[in-house]
Amino acid sequence: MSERGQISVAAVGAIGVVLLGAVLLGYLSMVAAGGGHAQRAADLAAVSAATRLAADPGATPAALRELAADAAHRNGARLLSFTLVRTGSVPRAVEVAVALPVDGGVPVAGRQSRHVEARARAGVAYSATLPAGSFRPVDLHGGRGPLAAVAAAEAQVGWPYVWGGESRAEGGFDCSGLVDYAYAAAGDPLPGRPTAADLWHDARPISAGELLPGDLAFVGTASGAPHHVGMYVGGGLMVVAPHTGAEVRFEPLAGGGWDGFGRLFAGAPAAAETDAAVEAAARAHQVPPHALAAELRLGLATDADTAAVGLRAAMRRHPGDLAAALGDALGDPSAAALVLRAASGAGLHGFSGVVRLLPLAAAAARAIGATATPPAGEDGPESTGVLETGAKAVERGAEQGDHLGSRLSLQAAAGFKNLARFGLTAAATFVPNPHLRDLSTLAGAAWDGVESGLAMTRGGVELAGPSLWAARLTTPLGIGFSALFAYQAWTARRRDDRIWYGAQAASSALTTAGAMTAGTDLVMLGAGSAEVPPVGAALMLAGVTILAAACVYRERHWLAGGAGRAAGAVADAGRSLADALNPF
Amino acid sequence: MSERGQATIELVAFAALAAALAVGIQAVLVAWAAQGRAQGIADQAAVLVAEGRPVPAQLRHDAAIRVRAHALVVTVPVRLAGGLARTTAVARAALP
Repeated sequence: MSERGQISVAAVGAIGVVLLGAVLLGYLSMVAAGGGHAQRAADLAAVSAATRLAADPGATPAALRELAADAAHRNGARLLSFTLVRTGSVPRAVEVAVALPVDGGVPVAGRQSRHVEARARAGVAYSATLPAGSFRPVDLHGGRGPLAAVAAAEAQVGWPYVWGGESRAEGGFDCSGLVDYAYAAAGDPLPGRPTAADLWHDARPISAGELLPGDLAFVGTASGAPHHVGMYVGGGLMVVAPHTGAEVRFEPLAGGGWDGFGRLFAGAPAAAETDAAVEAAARAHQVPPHALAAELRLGLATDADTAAVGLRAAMRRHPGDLAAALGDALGDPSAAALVLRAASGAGLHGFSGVVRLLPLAAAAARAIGATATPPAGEDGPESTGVLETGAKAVERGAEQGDHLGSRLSLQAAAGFKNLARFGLTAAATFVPNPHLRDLSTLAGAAWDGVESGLAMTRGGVELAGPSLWAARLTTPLGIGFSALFAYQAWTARRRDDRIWYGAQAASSALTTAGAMTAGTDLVMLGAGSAEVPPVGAALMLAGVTILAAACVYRERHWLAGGAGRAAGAVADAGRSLADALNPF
Repeated sequence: MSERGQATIELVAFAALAAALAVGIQAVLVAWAAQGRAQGIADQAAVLVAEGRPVPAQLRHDAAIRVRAHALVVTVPVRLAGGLARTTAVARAALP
């Protein structure tokens, strides 16, 4: 060939290499983007489930999992696992793992699709504010009458005494204001705004021995206009708003100077659905029983007495603010909000949940499944306030970035693996030295052989995306090359050439036949994927084995010479070493 | 035609081909970068929207973010070949 011809060939070759590089670059970007897509799918799946959890803390794990699976699916991924992280019965976070199919194989024979896994964790932080315009609401579970009035009155333990007080605006209760409020909250409002004397006149007198929860006790009945009133709650205890400077509290019936007793509503109260241990602890430590019961019901405490002591201490630090006291006692505003919600029922209007993605720490929440309960004290998400801080946001971003980066690096590795395989193909085409070209072909055949063997053991290989299109393109080319090589083998004059072209024809035919086992999906352009069964991978393996054997056969003299030269070099090096070590 | 003339024609043709190739590669790279940016914005914006938070202004800079019922669409304008051609890179995310 003339010099100009060689330059033309080199120019065309250079352009081809540049084009190949551009294609590879785009391919790599697509592969790398797969990792990002998987992370987005995981993030949105976690946030989706957590959003439902924020609105409904009682949502079942099955329902949450379904939401996460749907969000993952709509972002092209498949939900692998779903974990609801709880402390006791308090939901903390959801953690999901998703898999997203990403093209990352070798078009000739290797795996064409792999799944990138990504995990995400979304935390839920609840907050609750008691209504500003009224006293503490309490969940009466639809109950009415004296027992409901007792529950409503007991829930106000801790409010300050305010003379004439009957509304939140006045900041507290006086003795008759507490009774008036309790019966109104229980659905039995009393006429007007009765004083203790009015209540004495309205009540049916009873003896001390007849007292039932919800009945009233008075001081000063001898004058006909008692000046103090309290509500009997059972167990020899009253709940009263005693005097200025004191708070609504439990007091023993005996020794309180109660000299008259009355009943506002006829009939005995229904049996109370209260936990005796909770009631006893609340009364002993002067805390509202409804909040204490909710703590235990949610699994945030196991011992009523211990919890009551903690709540009492916190109430002293936060007088008149049960939400703050619960947050202080539990050390967790989110759990406190759920306690208030469980205790207050529909009367609590200021309940909400905030959802935030959280870093996947090494000590991330363990899987607890739908029914298992982790030990108390498991780390949960930060509170809403902490979540909002810039430092946490930076930390979270850094950790998520690190997590994403690890995924991307895996994808980059897959991409560079493909780059290396394409490099062998390019070397087998463009390297001037024919021996090195054959060596590149041999290396590529060995590579494809390993990939085909792995595909056989894995039950076949799925072609999708660019890999599928590459297979669609190379199948007709393979048929053409098979025919061309067969013709060259038929017309070749030298025996070695006949063997070389014949082997290439057989190799190309077998590899193409292997790809064609993918069936009609290979030619149906609308199909998004095609499955090459194990038998197809076996055909490909046979094809590349024949090609490798042909390469070795064709280069047997060169390889033998190289081996001889290598053996000579090793022998020379050994002799030099022996000479160097021999002092004589 | 002389051999020199033939060589000149081949050189000019090759230069034109190389220039076209360079422009094409630059366009691919620009579009690739824009697509990556659109995907990145979609990733961040989708999570923010799902969390119920507003999308900050810096994410909207030079990108249009539209939130539909259950999808977020990010469109980033792309100028190719020094502004001779324009296109857009679009990324979508399915919202919960």
